[in-house]
Amino acid sequence: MFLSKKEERILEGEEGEAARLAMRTIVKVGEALGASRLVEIEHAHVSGVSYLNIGDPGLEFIEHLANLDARIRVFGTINPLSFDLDSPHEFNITVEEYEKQLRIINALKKMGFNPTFTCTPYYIRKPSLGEHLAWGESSAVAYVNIVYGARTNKEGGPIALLSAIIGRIYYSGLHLTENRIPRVYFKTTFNTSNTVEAGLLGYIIGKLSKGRTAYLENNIQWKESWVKAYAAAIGTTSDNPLTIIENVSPETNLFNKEYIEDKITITREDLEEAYNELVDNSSQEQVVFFGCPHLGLEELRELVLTTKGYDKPIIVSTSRYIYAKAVEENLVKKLEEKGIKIIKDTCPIVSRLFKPNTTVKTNSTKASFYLKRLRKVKTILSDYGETGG
Amino acid sequence: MKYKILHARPILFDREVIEGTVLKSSTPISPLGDINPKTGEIIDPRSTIKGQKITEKILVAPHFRGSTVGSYVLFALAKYGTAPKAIIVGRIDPMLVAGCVLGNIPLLELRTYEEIPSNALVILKKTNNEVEVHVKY
Repeated sequence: MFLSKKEERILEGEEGEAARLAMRTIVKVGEALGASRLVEIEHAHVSGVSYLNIGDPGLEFIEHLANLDARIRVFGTINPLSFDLDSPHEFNITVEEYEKQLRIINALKKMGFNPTFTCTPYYIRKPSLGEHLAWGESSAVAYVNIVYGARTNKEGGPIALLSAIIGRIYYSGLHLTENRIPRVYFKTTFNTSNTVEAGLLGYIIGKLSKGRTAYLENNIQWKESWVKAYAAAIGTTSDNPLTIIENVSPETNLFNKEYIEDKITITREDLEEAYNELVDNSSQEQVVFFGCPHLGLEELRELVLTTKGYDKPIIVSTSRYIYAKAVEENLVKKLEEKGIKIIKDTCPIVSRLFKPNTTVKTNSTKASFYLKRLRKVKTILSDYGETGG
Repeated sequence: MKYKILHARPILFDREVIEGTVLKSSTPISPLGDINPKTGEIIDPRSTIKGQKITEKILVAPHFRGSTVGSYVLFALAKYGTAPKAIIVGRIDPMLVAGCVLGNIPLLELRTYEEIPSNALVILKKTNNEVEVHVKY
């Protein structure tokens, strides 16, 4: 791999042991992937922050880096935890788990990461077209590739962490324009009309595109919540998070019919089939959940308008960044008056909020996919509007 | 003593020679969940080497799988002194490569990994562009 003089020096340890280890890892993985060089990044987002997920090995490595005086060189954000920092007792964790989680947070803060605890870092720093990033968290990776034309592969948490320390990532995959050119063309026999349909569409296109960049014909404006649902869902079925969506994505100029290998039409029957794979309609919901990915301000405003009270508890998850803005706008008070509970820093997928065998109604295909697998929770998929009284 | 020589692609191999006994899994390994880093034991109930220790072995597998957090587990193996001497896989992936860098574990890619018998004694020898895997019979 070609390295600049500065990169060579980092690899030789001139900028400390943490930077050397980070550079060596990124270079070795890049070489294994066939990358010819590194590329400078503007923002790293680290997944794998919850102690329940990364355990003692993760804690020990992150503290190891912090003890080596690792410092990040770019803007850095981090993924959700397994509890809300302001109400940890509601999340069924032990004192040991709580204390170890705080150690992870402190080590990451010492390196310079912002304590964001969210899967929606694009609200905190909006990426621009063509910018290079190193992000973990598949839903965010898909969202910024699709909506902003920002360039990041779906990196693992450890890789994103190490790339923050050197401010670089291997130049491969979606960092290269040639890999962003669509190879599979999708059209639908219906107009997408809500978050559930958008999520199911992402789930299906992820499966059918088989790792290739997809192109989606679309004549209508998509709401932000639909794109988030689509992006989160495609991350569950594909390693390539990029779909260029007409009227959504800035890179429609990359479309060239000579590169299209397959043309696929998706019907309502396909949506139905995907729906049946994911949901369990045999039982009534006991709780309603919105916030996978973490809700933005627009979605919170919409919830205030559409939810008129409900006979089941409604739980909503967001980031503390958005929460603070929602307090300013008086949204939090309005939601609480409707009996909606807001949690931050975490979500039901990475926490123990829902007990196994609970039936949860959600609008998120990703939540449905992972709640079933990771939490043994049953789900029903339904849109916002259908939840009100 | 007879030898069979296989030619592997060195992904991480800074030493001249490594000698050891093979522990071969027919199932892919997810470091997170399949290995207890404190003991080096394979705890995946579906693994063909369930209950065996990878420590000080030449660990051979089709490929690795699972959470990217697996890289941290490979680092932990080194820290707890439970790491294998080397890992040989049919196909590498970023999580495995990163983990082997962090854990300082030599790593080879060998498409014909299946030709290495279980429990064989092997010598890994560095040459110009590759690593020879000498299998003793």
